[in-house]
Amino acid sequence: MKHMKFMKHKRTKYIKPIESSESEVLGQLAIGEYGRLVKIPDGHHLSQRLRDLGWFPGEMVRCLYGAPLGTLRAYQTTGVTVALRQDDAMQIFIQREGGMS
Amino acid sequence: MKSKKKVAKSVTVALAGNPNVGKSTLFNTITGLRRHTGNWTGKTVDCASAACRWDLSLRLIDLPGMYAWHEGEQVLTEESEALRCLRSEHVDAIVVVCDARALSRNLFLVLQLKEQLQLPMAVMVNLCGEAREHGMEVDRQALQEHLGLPVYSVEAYNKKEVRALATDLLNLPNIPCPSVDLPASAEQAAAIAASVTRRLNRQESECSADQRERRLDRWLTGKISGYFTMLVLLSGILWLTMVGANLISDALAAGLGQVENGLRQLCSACRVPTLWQDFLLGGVIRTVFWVIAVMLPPMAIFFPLFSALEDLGYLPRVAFLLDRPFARCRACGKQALTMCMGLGCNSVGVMGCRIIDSPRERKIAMLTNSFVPCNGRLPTLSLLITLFFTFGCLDAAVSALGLLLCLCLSLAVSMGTSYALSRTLLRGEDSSFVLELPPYRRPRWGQLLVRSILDRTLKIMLRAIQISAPAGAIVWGLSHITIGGLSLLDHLSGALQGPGAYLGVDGVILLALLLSFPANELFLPLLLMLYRNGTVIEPLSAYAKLREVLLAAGWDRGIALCAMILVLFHFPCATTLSTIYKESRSLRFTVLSALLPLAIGAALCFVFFRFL
Repeated sequence: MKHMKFMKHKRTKYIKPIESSESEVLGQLAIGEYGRLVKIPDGHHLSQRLRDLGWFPGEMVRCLYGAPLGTLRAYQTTGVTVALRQDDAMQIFIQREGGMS
Repeated sequence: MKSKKKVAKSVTVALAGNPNVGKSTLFNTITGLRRHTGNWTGKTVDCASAACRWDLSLRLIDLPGMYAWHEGEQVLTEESEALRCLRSEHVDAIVVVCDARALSRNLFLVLQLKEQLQLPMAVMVNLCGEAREHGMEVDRQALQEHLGLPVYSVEAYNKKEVRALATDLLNLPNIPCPSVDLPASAEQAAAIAASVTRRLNRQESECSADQRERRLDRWLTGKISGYFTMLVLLSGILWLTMVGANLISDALAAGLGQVENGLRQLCSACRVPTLWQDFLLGGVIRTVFWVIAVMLPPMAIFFPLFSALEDLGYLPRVAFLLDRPFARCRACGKQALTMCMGLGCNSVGVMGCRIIDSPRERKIAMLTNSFVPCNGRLPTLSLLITLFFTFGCLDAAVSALGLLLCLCLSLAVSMGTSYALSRTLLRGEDSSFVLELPPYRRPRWGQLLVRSILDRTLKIMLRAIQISAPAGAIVWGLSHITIGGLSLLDHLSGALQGPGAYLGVDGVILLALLLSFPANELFLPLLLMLYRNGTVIEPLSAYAKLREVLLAAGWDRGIALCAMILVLFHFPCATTLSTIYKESRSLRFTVLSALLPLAIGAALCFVFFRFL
């Protein structure tokens, strides 16, 4: 339940809790795990930016490593590695995958 | 006759593409210019244009990186700058530079541009070598067929290949506009990318190059190793700078001293009046030489080393490591990047703030950028540290440590100010942000050395002559015009003595700070000139002489420290202020950005002087 720690200092920006029904969110990926993007909510600040970077549904994402301090984590998709704060990663829906297909 | 005709029908080609694909590198190779390049997203934030060095009828425009074509939506500052350029300039054709490793998102932009702009286009696939190292290969022919556009596969720094490309570019406008048959969708781009990219080694999911990158990443962003490496790298660079600068400075001072003697003899031989001789040699020439001898060596060493880190792709990792502290101050990790650029020049740093998405955080970064000592102030600091805070042994190491402390102080004050600002003037939400971590690339040392030394040297020389010569003349004039038995200088510094007394410095230091408003490099030469009443600054010589001058003026460590604090924290130079005005388009903001550092510097000095 390591990720629960990050939930605690969620800032006031997104009050809406995540409906954790069927799909998981990117923030729940542990380091080294893979996931397939399911949905980036349209209203999200970063949705446009992430799409520009090639983050589309169906794309495989791997959580590479986390910053030693704070909540930044590096995620790798084809050809690009980006770092996202945990707050933002909690808004992106994925489906966990066992390994590289 | 023929050349005239050629110039008349010149061809303008714009270089577009995603960030960090090598547009500026290609631009440099074709034009022979030395635009700053670096291995991270957002290095280039403005447009530039120049003629091709092989054929003057080809003109190139280098655009800032753009991810995609967003019209009317909330766009990034650099993207809108690119669009503005594309609209306002006359462009005959476009070359979209692509990164072979991230072809799908690069092709998305290609498709969009093809749809939006009715212009002849070509695609250049860059970094194929790097892609091959990572087990990927792009089929140029297939890509060309898919897109219906000419596709080149060229390494942007390879002169021979690029030259061939440049000749082809001249014919580009004659190629008919591409027909829009492909939908500009991401899916389409991904499909094309998938069909033209071939994996070289199918068995291994991760090749050795990938693994090497991961290992390096793990080390550079590790919990202890990350911060440790950061400190070691920074202090190592500072130490090398101090050691090298001392050597070069001495040699340079001796050489320039000889030149000055020669000039003096020449003047007496030509029977130039003594007053003029004094004015030219003692005022103008000496200030210029001083600026060169003191400022040039540290810069010539510091910047190649720093650029090497930049080329490696290390700077975004610093932002990655420092995001937490910045987030605590309710600012953004990318501020670390703009601060690094500020080390070179605050004006560039302020312009670099365009990479920060949130307007609130961008303003904070712009306001605090001048806290970072730029290349005009770093040598001043290092000299003062060497003169007053070393003990005769391990000089270079001690002064490097001192400089490191200065940088830490400026980082701490930046963060504190960011925190205070976001609690008071610039309240607002934290924004989300995406930080791209570029692949590591080996710095190309030869080019890097030539580029940064020649580029910087030339620039500093010019700047020294442009700014320090008139400044030297003015100071000389001030000290020679007397009103009521006292020179103007004495009147001015006397007037500043009052405020200086509160800050633990004398009026002359304040006057020198004020007079160095056009360029921070001038502070130390002006200071010395002021102390020696304009007529005789000591001829260029060893540091010991300098120390004598300052000691004779009543300096001690306390004064030196206060002076250093003021050098670190005072109003930004004229160039930076004008950039801030251009970027913010607000007079109030510009005034604030001048007063805020001054207030902080004054407060620090006051506290230090009164209580310590």
